[in-house]
Amino acid sequence: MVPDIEIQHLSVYFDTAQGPVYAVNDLSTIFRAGRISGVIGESGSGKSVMGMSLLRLLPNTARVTGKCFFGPHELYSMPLRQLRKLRGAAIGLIPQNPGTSLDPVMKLRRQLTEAITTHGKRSRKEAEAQAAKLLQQFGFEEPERILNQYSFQMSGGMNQRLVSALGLACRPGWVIADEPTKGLDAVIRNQVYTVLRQIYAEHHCSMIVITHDLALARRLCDDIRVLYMGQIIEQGTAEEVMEHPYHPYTAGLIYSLPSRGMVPIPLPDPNRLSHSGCPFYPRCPKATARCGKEKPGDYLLPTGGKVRCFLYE
Amino acid sequence: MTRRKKQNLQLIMVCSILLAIVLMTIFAPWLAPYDPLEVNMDLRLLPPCCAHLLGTDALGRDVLSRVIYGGRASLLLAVAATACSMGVGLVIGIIAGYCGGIVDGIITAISNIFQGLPGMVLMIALVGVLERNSKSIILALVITSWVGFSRLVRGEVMKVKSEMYIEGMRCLGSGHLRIILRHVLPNIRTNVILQFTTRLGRVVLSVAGLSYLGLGIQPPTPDWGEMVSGTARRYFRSAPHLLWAPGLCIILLTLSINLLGDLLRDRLDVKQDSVKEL
Amino acid sequence: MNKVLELDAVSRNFTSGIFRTHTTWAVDHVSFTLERGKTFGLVGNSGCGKTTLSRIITRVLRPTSGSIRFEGEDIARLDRRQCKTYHRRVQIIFQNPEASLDPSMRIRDSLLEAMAIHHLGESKEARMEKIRATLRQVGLPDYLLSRYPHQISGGEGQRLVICRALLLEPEVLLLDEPTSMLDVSVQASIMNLLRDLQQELGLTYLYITHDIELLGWISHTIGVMQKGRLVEVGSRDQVMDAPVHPYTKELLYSYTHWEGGTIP
Repeated sequence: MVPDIEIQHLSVYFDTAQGPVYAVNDLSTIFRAGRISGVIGESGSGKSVMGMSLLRLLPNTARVTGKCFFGPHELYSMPLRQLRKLRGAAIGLIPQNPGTSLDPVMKLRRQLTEAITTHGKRSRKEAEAQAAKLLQQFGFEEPERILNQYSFQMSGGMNQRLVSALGLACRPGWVIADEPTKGLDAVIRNQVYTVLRQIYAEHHCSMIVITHDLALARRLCDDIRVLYMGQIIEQGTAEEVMEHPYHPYTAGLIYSLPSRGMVPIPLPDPNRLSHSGCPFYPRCPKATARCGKEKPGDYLLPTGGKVRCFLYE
Repeated sequence: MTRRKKQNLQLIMVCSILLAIVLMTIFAPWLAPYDPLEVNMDLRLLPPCCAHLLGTDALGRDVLSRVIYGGRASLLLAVAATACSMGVGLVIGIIAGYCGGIVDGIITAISNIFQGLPGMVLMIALVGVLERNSKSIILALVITSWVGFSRLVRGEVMKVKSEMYIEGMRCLGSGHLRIILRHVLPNIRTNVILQFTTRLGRVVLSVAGLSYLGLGIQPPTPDWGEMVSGTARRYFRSAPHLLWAPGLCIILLTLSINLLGDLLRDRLDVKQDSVKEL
Repeated sequence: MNKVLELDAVSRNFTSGIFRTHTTWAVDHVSFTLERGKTFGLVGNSGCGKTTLSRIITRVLRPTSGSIRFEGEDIARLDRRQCKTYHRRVQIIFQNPEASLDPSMRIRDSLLEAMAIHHLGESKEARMEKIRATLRQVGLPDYLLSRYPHQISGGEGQRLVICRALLLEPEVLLLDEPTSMLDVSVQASIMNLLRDLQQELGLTYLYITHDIELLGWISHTIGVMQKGRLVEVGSRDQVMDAPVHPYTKELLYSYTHWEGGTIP
């Protein structure tokens, strides 16, 4: 059975000349196996840093504190050699920017077979056969022809399917998809959605989908966590979060979608910039004096979700 | 943080060595204990002693004074030659990179020819044919080294030119000259400066090499390259002290210039967002 | 005069191959008209030629055939001075705000530079006064002026680029995917800013994007491009609610439908 991923008090910060800058701030959560968990937030919210910290692929200036349990393993402190065995084999990654995540001068055949032979001893022939089978599963009709091509000969949607295939080459139980629809147009975005759905249905793997694309999260994920400045400010099932957002930030995010009226979240109030309370306080339309002084805790909602806002105490 | 500090320390060390050499050559008249040209046949080939800290050479001239003076001519020559070839390379490279098309094609073809010429041999031939003065040395150095600059500049200009903000400036109605001077040049500055330091190191060696071959700075003007060759070679066994001081100076100078180039590259290179496995 | 910019059968091809035998038509006989104070939305997927079209309008590329008239004058026949005026009156906003500002210049200098090119403002003080006023108009604080482009956020960058364009008092803004790199909440604020500016200053927009939902919000007229051709043009309501061309239908369909089901 595939274990859950449990993060406890994760903080990731970067040392800068102005002191530490926190990308993730004391974040605790459990990603349940067998579900598609969405992590949504805007750029700078720390969602990618959180996702990459699970594989310990962070810029070398990052400092990590906290714990992350994956079955018997503690991911943040285990030896790198062991962690490498987990990468790809137990936790697969579908990276951002499919175009640049593939080696442009290496034929796809080698890239795919290499991904397969890295974990587990298989002969080249077997690996190639498996690569061809994998491509077929991802909707490529002539896998042999594709294997002899380079990544730049593919379209954006095809590359997305290819990196997804790479991430799943060793049949990991968990998959982390980092911004799978960034910069794609509607038609390709639909293709990506279909691929991810298919992966979930056919491989029965658990997924963490990190995205800023609210519509994708709504359709694809079982539950959603909303990140703001390195903290989870709201979590619940996809339907609850998207249809009945509780936190003012989640609501603001959803109503700024073109299909929901395109109402922007107000810019930070300059008078509220220095405060010691809720991180959303400077921009919050529903803020009270208390929000600027105290940090809200997580409050359980009747629907089973959690929200970090005094309005629901 | 510590890496940064280590780099700073290295930078300070290298800069102070370089500064010391430059100051030494600038203030040579005040620093040198004797006149470097003063011949005294009674004191030939003295080993280092109190009066002559580095001894004297075959004509009885004070070696220390000659070492102090010896950087002047070659350093000046090297800086002038590098600056000239940078100027030539900058102009040609910008024209090629900015205009593109057929202009670029012709300039690239010409620079390929220059690139193919054997540098040192051509330089020796040129200095041999031309008059033996500093002008012809500079000319020879420029002819053999402008291509390096122009190629680099051409590439950098092409890269900058394809950036969105250059197209944006065009769309704002800006003229070509304004774009080149205000937007292209400042953005290729770093790499040109780096190239200047690496080239300077090489040119210093070339000048020393030419002097060693007797084609560079002419005696009796004191010069490190000439001091290593000439009479010193003949008395290599009996008076080794003639060799090591000027030799050490050449090594220190080129080494510190090259190190400076490397350190500056690390320092000015902003793209350091490599991924590390924590 | 109501028609600001008229495109008449504008085409552009690119040839490739050793003998220049392979010809691709990036833009193929595209004609439409921008009306003063209105927004024309141009939608199409990546590689449909919409960016080539914007580069033709800004005179970065020449059209292979066809003509563009700005207030009745063919822009291919403008002399140097008229050309400069054209560039002042027709401004473009690119997709990536950070890349559209010179990285070696402080924001202040970038903005001053734009005014200096067109000799606007009597003195430096007058220019700075105008810059501060325009910054307030786009909702930015003054302290950004001393920053470099890499020190500001995407939303601020896009506002700055809009500010730079407004300094030159343009009439037409070409918006080439101005929000596709921004977060949704920032996108919403930029879109609202653009709409307010249009109402305040009577600007004419050509909005180019792959997101037909955005166009439904901001455009008066929508044109749909596919493989270099303009396959459908119509009023916002007609294109959004009763599309005729199958490609338009497909585009709209992929926004509202995901693998069988509609988004509630």
